[in-house]
Formats: sequence, structure tokens, C-alpha cells
Amino acid sequence: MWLDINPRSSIPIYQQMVDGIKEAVARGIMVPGERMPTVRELASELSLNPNTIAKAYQKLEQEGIIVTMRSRGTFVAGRSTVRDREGAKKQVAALMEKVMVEAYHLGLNREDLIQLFEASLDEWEKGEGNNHGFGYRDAGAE
Amino acid sequence: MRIMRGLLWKEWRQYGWTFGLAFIVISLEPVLVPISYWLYRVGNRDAWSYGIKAILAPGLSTTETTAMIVAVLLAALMLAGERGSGLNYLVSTPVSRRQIIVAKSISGSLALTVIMAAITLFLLVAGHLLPAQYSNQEVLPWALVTTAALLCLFSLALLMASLSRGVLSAALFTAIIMALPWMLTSQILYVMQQFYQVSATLELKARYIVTYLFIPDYISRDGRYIWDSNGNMVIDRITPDYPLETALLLLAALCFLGLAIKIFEKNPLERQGELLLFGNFKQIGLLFFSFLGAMAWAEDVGTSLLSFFGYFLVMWLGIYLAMVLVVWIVAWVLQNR
Amino acid sequence: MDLAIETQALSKSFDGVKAIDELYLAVPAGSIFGLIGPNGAGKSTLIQMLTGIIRPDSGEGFILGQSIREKNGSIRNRVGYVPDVPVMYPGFTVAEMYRLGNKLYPFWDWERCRELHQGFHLAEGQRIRNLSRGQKVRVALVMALALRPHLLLLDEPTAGLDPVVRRAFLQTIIEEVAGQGTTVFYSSHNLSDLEQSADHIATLYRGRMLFSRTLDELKESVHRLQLIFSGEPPEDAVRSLPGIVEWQKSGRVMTITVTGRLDSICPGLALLEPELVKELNLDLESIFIAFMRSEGYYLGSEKWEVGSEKGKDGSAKEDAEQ
Repeated sequence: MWLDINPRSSIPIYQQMVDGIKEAVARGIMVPGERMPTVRELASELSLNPNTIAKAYQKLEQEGIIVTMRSRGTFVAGRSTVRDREGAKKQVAALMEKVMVEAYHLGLNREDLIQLFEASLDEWEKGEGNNHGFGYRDAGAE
Repeated sequence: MRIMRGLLWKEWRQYGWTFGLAFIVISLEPVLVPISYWLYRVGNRDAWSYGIKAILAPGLSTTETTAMIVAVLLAALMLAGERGSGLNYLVSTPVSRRQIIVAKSISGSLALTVIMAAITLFLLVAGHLLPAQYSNQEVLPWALVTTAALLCLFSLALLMASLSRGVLSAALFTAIIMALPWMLTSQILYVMQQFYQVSATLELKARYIVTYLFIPDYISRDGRYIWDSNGNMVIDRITPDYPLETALLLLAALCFLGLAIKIFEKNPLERQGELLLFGNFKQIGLLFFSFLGAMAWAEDVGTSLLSFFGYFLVMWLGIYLAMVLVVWIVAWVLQNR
Repeated sequence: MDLAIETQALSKSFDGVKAIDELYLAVPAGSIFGLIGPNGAGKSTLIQMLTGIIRPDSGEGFILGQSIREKNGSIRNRVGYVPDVPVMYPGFTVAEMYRLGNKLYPFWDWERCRELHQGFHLAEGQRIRNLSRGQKVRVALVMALALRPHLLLLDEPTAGLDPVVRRAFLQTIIEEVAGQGTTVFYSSHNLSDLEQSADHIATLYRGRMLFSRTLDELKESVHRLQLIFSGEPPEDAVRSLPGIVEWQKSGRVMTITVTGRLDSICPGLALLEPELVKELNLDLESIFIAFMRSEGYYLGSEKWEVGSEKGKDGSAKEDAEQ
């Protein structure tokens, strides 16, 4: 797998994996229904501890990113499994706050931030396919 | 058990050549030399058996002495020689310490027995087919007791090897322990004779007992006297009472093996130069040598048994402390080199 | 939870010096457990006690549920051991060592042996005494794996190995764990190897356990932060921060290493009123060095002030309670 894990980072390996896979799914590099390698395969390929990989898979499954079907394997879940919308919003809000603190220290203002955010969004949408289907498009349907 | 077979295979693979060498060295006089006589047709028809006659006769022949040395060195090599290499590997496998020692005991004993059996067979067959200076009746008793004595010595050496770190120190300790009964008794008798009239009977009895404790005497037949009712010496046991003597020797061999197992199970393998149990051994060695020295000194100086004891105790302590000091100084000097 | 290795108050002294001092260790089955510590900390002694080469003075130890004091050798049927300097039988050839292994171990697998032997590019006919250290380690590893172990004990296995062999070694270990559920317990100075492969880390120093945790927990509970102050940095306040391990001052900047979860540290930090807080990356090596420094073991001229006992005791107690 193309996952870029840095064992020497302060971020635990399992967290890097979780983040990496989440990003891959979000960018459309991995599509719903795609089969994930087994823990064993991945451990062998990346030379990483299988327990760590199992932990990452566990967390991903908890968050609904992947789903395990007994004796069939592990697959990327469809997007529709976002369960806790309020919780999700809180998470993103926290991330946003971090960005804003950083921006404050760097001396950026509101206009700068809005500009940056919209540019990012555009960039994102232009990326591979539309299967990441941002929720905001379907906002009307919610 | 499967594991014992594996261990025996290992001992054979490791020491096969050594066993072969031992065979050649021991059978030099009794087998190889006679064969060379035949090949070169030297001397009379029975000249080939001259050396063998000397071996079978009482007293220690070169062959017998060689065989004893080989038995001791073999055990020392098989155990102390493996420390730091194979033994470290072996101890981490599913083999118990007991099995390690037993396997070595079996292989070494078997090797010695086979060597002696081969020599015996040769002597019997050659003695039967050709005119010889010995009779075949002499061969078996000699073979049985000598083999048993060698096995006993091997076992003792294995025991000493379980305590010592190196091959040579194991061999040395074996020699000391083997000679101990004889040395101690001789010393004690000598001392007593300085101050008392020791009856000849008592001395004889003491020496008689010692010959049963001194392994080479089983082979050389020294000291096997029995006295009659007049207190006269009658040489009687040159021909061994071999059920008794063989049994004694083999029993002792088993005891040594048991002790060796106990000790080997207890002690750690060498760690960065720390010698196994050598701490204790050093103490015992120093005590022993100071004991001997004190005894010799006190003998010369003492005038009565009481003064002898007094001097002896003081000197024992003194010499012991002096030796401890010397050892300490040497260690200190070496450390600060 | 199944423990592949467990020790209780294990102690061993040599010449009056405690090499292992009342050690409590718990290694879960199926884990890759890394033991780190400076030279002379007692790592080899511990492993040798577990394999039965050295006998403990006091305390208990269990491997695969059986006592290490057991005289019967069968407890080692499923235990593979690779010492730091494999010696084996110098006169034997590689093939003969394998034969010996087959005779001594009841579950020896010739297929696996051949597979690994070829994978490691070893030659059957060579005598052990003629092999380089790297080759000896490889032979020892082949033998340790061919016996189909449930537990692998490795003592500095990759020290002195070239990167190619080291990578192959790690790969093989990981595959073994992934495929067979083998527990791997290994001591190493190579912290980057451990960082990649271990899920638990324990640190030994002077025969005592400094900490024993999962690697993830360790990384999540030790942080190095850079605090930039507008004026003079408040050294006293920093000194008394809960969980402080060490700190360093440079002008208006204080770099601190502190234990605890980030969200519980932050309130304390906020009280110091720094202008800026930045988290620096801490790899395992830096964590280890920081802990060693706080124990008084360090060389070189980096000047760090060491934290109070509070921080260390807190984390040590947590480990004991786990």
C-alpha cells in the first residue's frame, strides 16, 4: 500500500494509518466496496507490527470507515454511514479552532482565512472523481 | 527417549575423533606394539606378549597410567571444555541439565568400555592362537577391574569438571581428590608416629582401608594384604575379588554421577569471566594447602601431641591468612595493571 | 489476558551487585515486546534467566505459563532463543546444527528450515567457526524459527548487522508474528527497529524497570513542547509542573519534556502564560534519552535540568498498576 508511515513520528503508527486511510477514502484513492488488505498482508508489506495494524483497523471500523464481513474480508465502507452528525461537526470545529489559533499567531485575518478555505474546497472538488461526494452538496437532502 | 538419542548423537559427532585418539593411545602397548612385532617378526615367538605380561602383572604399567590420564582428560574435555561454546547453546534447548550430564557420562563410559573390550578381545584371541607369556585366565580379572576403575575415574573427573571452568583445572582437581585419602592417611599416620607408638596392625589396617579408597590401587593391586592371626602379613588379594571390587568402583562411579548432576543443575554457566563456584573452590583450596603446610611445619616443631596440635592450629590459621593476603595482593596488582 | 512471559520480584546478583532487582514484567501473548536500556542494565541477564542459562536468586518467572525454575527441559520445546553472540558448536557444519535442532526439538519443521535457510542465503556445508557474526545470527534465527516457537527470545539480534540483513530479519519476525501468533521478546539498542515493529516497550536501568507500556501509549503520554515567553521564562513554575521530566532554557524559550496526556497538560501550561506553544516531534530514541537523563545517565554537554520525582513516580506507579 501507498501509506506513508513514519515510525519515528510522535504520532502513533496506528493513528497515522487511521488518518492516512481516512484521507485516502476522502480523496477517492480508495473507493467504497474496495477490498482492504488483511492485517497479515499489510504487516508483511509495510514491515509493521500486526497488532498495530489490527488496532488501526479496529478504530477505522469503529468510526465506520471500513467494515468487516466475516470470511469475506474487510472493505471500505460506503459514505452513507456517517452516524453522528453533531459529533462530526464538533470534531471538525475543533480542527478549525486549531487552524485559527495558528493563523492568529501568524497574523492572518478573517478575509485571508475565508479565501484560503474556499481555495481548499475548490482544490478538493477538482480532485479525483466525485465519489467522495461532499455532504454539503447533498445538504438540501438532509 | 528421543532427546537422549539426539544428545548421544551430538556427543559422538563431537568427540568421535577424540575417542579414536584415546583408543590409539591406550592400545599402543597392548595391541599396536604386538602387531608390529608380528609384522616385523622380531624376537622369539612369544616376544610380542612381553609388554602385555607387564601390563597384567601387579603394579602400574605405562599403559595403565596412560589409560587413567586419558579417562580424566576425556571427562574434563567433554564438560569443562564445552563451556562458553556448545554448552551455552545446549542449556537453552529443551534438554535438562541432568540429561546433558547423563549423556556425557554414557558416551564417555561407553567409549572407555569399548576400548577396553577391544583390547581384551585382542588379548584373548591372540593369547589363544599364539604362544604367549601370559595366560588367558589373567586377562579377564584384569580387564574387569581396570575398566571399572577407569569408569570410576571418569565419573570423578566429570564431577570435578562440573565445578571447574577449564579442562586443566578439572584434571588437576581430579588428581587431588583422587589422591586425597592416601595423602591424608599418610600424613596422619606419620604425625601420630612422631608422638606415639603406632602398632603395625593399626598401620596396616589404615593402609588397607586406604587402598580401597585410592583408585589406582585397584589397578596396580598395591596394598592388598591380609594378615593372619599372628599379625603376619599375607599377600592375598593380588587377584581381585572382582565382584566386590568392580561393584565398589561402579557404585562410586554412580555416586559421583549423582553428585555431578546435582551440582550442574545448581550452578550458572560462566558469565563474563566469573568462575563457577570458584569462590568456594578457592577457599577450599587455600584451606587445604594451608592445612598440609601447617601439618608439615607442626610435625617438625612439635614435641608432644598436645604441642603439635597447638602449633598446628596456629600455623593453619597463619598460613591460611598469609595465603589469602597473597591472593588478594595479586588480584589487586592485576586489576590495576 | 494470556501472558507469554511473567516475572514477579525476580532478582539476581553477581558479586554483590544487583543485576536484576525485584523485577515485575508482563509480556502479553502475541505481542512484539521491546526491551531497551543502557549497556549493563541487565537485559542479557534477564533473557538468560528466562531461557534457563542463569538461575534467579529469588522471585518467580514464567515463560508460556511454566516456571523458569523447572528442571525439566520440555518447557523450552516452543521457545526459540537467539543470543547476542551465537556460539553453537564451532566444529559443526550448518547442516549438522540443523540436524541437532531436529533431534532436540519435537516440533521441528524441515520445510520452514529450508525455506528460511535459503531466504537468508546461508550455505549448508560451512562450519560454524568460519561464519561471520551476521551469518551466525542468521543460522541461529533459522533454528529458532524452524522449531515452530510460541515464544522468541532475542538478545540484541540486529547489533552489528548490515541494513539489508537487518531488514530481512525484521521482516521475518513480523511475518512470524502475523502468521503464527508467536510472541517476540527482544532487547535492542536499535530503537528505530523497535519503533517500527514493537507494540510494547519496557526500559531497564540498573536492573530495575523504569516503565513498561504500549508504544502507542508511550508516544501519547510523553511530549516535548517549546514554550516561548514574552519575558523571562518562569523556571520555578516549570519545575513544579506535574509530570515534568526535564527542561532547558534558552533566552525566552523553554523546551520541556513532560509526561501525561496533552489535554491534561494544557491547563497547567496555560497558567504559565506562554506566548506560543509548539509541540516538537519526539521519537523513541529521544524519549529514551530523556528518561535516562532524568535517571542521571547521560553523556555529552546538552544542558537539561531534570524534573522532580513527582513526574517519574506517577508514571512508574501507573505501570505497576496495569
